[in-house]
Amino acid sequence: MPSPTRLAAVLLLAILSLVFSASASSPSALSFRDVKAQLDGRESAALITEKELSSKTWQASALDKLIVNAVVQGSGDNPIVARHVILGVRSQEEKVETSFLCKASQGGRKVTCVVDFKDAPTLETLNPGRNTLTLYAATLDATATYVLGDLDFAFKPVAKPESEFDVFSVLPEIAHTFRPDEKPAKKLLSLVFTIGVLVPWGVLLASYVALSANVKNLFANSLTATFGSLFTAALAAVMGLYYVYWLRLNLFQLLGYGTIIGCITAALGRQALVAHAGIAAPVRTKKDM
Amino acid sequence: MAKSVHNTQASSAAAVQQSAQKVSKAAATQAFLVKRLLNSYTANTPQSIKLIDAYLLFVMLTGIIQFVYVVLAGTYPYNSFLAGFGASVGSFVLAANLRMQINPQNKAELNISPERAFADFAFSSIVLFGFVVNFLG
Repeated sequence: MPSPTRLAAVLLLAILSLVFSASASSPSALSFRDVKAQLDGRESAALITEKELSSKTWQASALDKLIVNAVVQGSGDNPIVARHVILGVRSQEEKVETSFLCKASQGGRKVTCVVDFKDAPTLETLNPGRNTLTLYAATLDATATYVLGDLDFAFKPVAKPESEFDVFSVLPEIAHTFRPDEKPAKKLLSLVFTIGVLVPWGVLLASYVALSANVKNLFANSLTATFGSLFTAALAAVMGLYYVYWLRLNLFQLLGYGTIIGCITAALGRQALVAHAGIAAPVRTKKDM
Repeated sequence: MAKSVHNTQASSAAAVQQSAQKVSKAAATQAFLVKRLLNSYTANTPQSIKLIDAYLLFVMLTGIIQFVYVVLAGTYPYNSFLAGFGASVGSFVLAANLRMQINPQNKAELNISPERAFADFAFSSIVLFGFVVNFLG
């Protein structure tokens, strides 16, 4: 049978691991840096030189290739590997956004997005006129958005070949009317009832004092004192787990940690109740036999 | 004529007096019964049962106060009200079950030890508060 000291140590370890993992699971910020856009193309047999992001609008023809390079960084200003980085090209006239998946390089630290306008399928998805370029990045915990600027597409719309699958078209944007927000209660009323809810606690304590409630059975012997105290501490740990779950954890973490703490609580509770039952049981001596 | 009117007035006064006497007798009987109930409860109820009854009263008051608040202030936020009121109702039900199981008068029908009853109560309460915390929002 494990000693009370070992049981206390296991319980303490369980609580510490819970606290550390809760603090480790805090969400981190995500942002872009070193974002550079480059417009390569051949127009009248001349290359268009690299353009920095100082001016927010420039033009692209059907012979150009847009290359965007960026580094995704986390909260510590160190580059991190994002799960997805996407370049969005949104037509301001058609209100439609086309997404292009960016490729990662240098071990995932640098991302490169390429939109080749010479590629016919790519051109079919784009709309002429002014388009807004936006970078999107996401990890498991955080997301980031970076608006590069506007790009004027100076090419004619490509006539899409008819297909039996062309049954979908852009519908007008849905104008959803949200129901009005519910008004919270007045502060004074909330405060009064917050205090009012605590009044039954006073009634309970007064009743227990009047009934001479005591914890003599808890300290009847060493077994009840040890296991009773540990069981009470385990119940407090369960309530602490619920509090941390309310603030930070998700359901799976609650179930995981709850299983560990629940098993410990069940074992300690059983021992405490066995010790308590031993108080009421008569002790037979040789004299009785 | 005057004599018949006088007789009518006398009989109605006597009827009123009789009904007043009946009401006061009923009130005295009720007071006696309530006093007898309280004395019997105090004398014959085990202390463990009284402690549970105090807890039941506490939980009931908490639920009533929450309900009155919702009636006055509205249901916002509704999930929090459900969590709090559900905790009160659930705790009341579990404590009432515990009271039934550890009552010595029910020992013949419910063959369960007080320790087992308390273990069931503790486990059920932990599960209940797990659901309550989920609803808090």
